[in-house]
Amino acid sequence: MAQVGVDLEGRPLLQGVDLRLPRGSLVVVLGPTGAGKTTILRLLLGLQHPSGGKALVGGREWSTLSRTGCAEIRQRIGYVQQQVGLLKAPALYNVTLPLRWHGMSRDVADERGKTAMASVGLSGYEREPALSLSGGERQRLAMARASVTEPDVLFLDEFTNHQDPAHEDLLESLAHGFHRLGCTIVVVSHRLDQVRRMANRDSDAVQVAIVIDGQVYVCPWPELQRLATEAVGPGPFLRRLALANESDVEFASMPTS
Amino acid sequence: MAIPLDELVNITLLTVAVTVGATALGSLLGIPLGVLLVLERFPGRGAIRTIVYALYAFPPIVAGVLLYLLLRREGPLGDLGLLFTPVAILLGETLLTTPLIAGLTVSAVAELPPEVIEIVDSGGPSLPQRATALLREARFGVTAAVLVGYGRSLAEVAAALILGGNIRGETRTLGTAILLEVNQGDFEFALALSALILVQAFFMALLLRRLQRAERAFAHRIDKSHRGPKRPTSESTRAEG
Repeated sequence: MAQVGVDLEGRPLLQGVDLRLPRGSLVVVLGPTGAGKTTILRLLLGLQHPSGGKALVGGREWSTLSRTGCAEIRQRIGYVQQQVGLLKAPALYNVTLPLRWHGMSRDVADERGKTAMASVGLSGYEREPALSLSGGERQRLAMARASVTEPDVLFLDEFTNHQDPAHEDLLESLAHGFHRLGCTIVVVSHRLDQVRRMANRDSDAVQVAIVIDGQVYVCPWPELQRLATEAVGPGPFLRRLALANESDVEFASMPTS
Repeated sequence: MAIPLDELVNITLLTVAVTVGATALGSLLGIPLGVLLVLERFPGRGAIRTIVYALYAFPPIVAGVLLYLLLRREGPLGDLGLLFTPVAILLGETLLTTPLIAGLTVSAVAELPPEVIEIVDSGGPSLPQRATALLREARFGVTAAVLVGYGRSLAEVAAALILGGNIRGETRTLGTAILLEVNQGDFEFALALSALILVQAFFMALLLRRLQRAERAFAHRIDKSHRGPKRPTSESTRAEG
C-alpha cells in the first residue's frame, strides 16, 4: 500500500499508509477497536478501494485489474473474517466451495474439505448446517475454508476469537505451519500476548504494524518495546495495551532492541 | 352452463400456460437483471433501478396498449403476426411480471449480510459463480419474488383483452371470460370462473406458506442446534482432543 488514505463518511480513517507485504512475511496488525485494522485487510484484498494513494498487488493496482485478474489473485488468498460470513448450507459445503470454483471435482474437494475441517478440530461436523455452529466453531470453520485451497497468502482477522486456549493454540499452530511453508500471513489482533506468542514461534521474525490515529507504524517485533517507550505515536497505546491485556505478563518482558 | 366443458378446460389450460409461461420468462429476465443491479456497478444502474421500481405499478392497460402498437399490422413488429394470439398475451404478462421479479430479487440479494457477500467475493468466483452463490443464499426471497410475479400474471385481464382479443377457442383466458360473462349478465357463471382463478391463487398462497414454513424450520433447526448439545463423532472427539 502506497500513501493510502481511506475516508469513512467524510472522516479520514487512514491517512498516508505505507505497508509492504514481502512474500513469506508474517505481519501482525495491532490497534484499538475501530482504528481501521479490518479496513487494511479489505484494501489488501481489493474488496475496498482507497480514497487516496494506491493499493497494489504484485505491483498493479487492484482497481486496474480485470474481473478475471482479481478472481485469479483472490483464489490464492485465504481470508478469515472477524465477523465470519457463512452460507446457509452444510459446513463441508462452505469449506469446499472455493475448491469447486477452482474446477475441482466434488469428491476430491470433499476429501480435502474433510481434511481441512479435521485440522481445526471439526471432524464430524461436515453435515451440520454451518449457521448452527457456535461462535468459536464458526471461526474454526472459516480457518478451514481459508486454508483448504493451500493459499499463498492468509489474512486472519481476529482469527482466534471465541476460542479456548487449546483451540487458540491449534489455530496459531496452523497459521505458523502455513508460514513455514512460505505462505505470507497477515494477522489482525488487539492482543499483545498473541503477538508475542506468534513472534516466539517464529524466532521473532514478525513485523508489527500498529494502526493508531489513522497512521500505521511498522516495526520488527524485537523493536516493539522501544516504540512503546516513545511519548507520541503508538507509544501511549502500546503501554495501555500492555497494562490492560498483559496482567499476567510484565511489560518488561517485551523484547528489547 | 354458458360455456361447454371442453371450452372451459381449454380456457383454464390457456390461462395456466400463459401465467406459468409469463412467470418463467419474467424470472429468466428479472432474476439476472435483479442480480446485476445489486452486484455490478455500471453507468445508468441507478436509473434502471428506479425504472424497475416505477414499473411495479405499471398499469396493465398501458402495457397492453404499448404492445398493441408494436404488434399491430402497421406496427414495427406487425409482420410477426402475433397480435390476438396467446403469444401476445404471454408477452404482455411478461412485461408486467419482469420488473416485479427483478425488483424483489434486488431486495432479496441486497438484504444478505455484508459479511456473506464479502466472503463470497474474497474466494475469487467468476460472475456466474458469484451470482449463483448469492442467489442460493437469497433463495427464499427470490422464490417469493417468482410467486408474486405469478400472482400478478394470474390477476391480469386488461392486457390479455387488448392483446388477445378474447377470441373464443383461441385467446380467451379465465379473466377475459369472466369479463364477458359479466357483460352478458351471467354473474353466476362469472363467479364459477372466478372460483377457478381463486383455486390457482390459493395454490400460490399455499406454496408461499410452505416456503415461509421451510425458512422458519431452517431457522428453528439452527436455533435448536445452538441450544442443544452437539453430537460429534468419536473421530471429532479425538481430533478436538
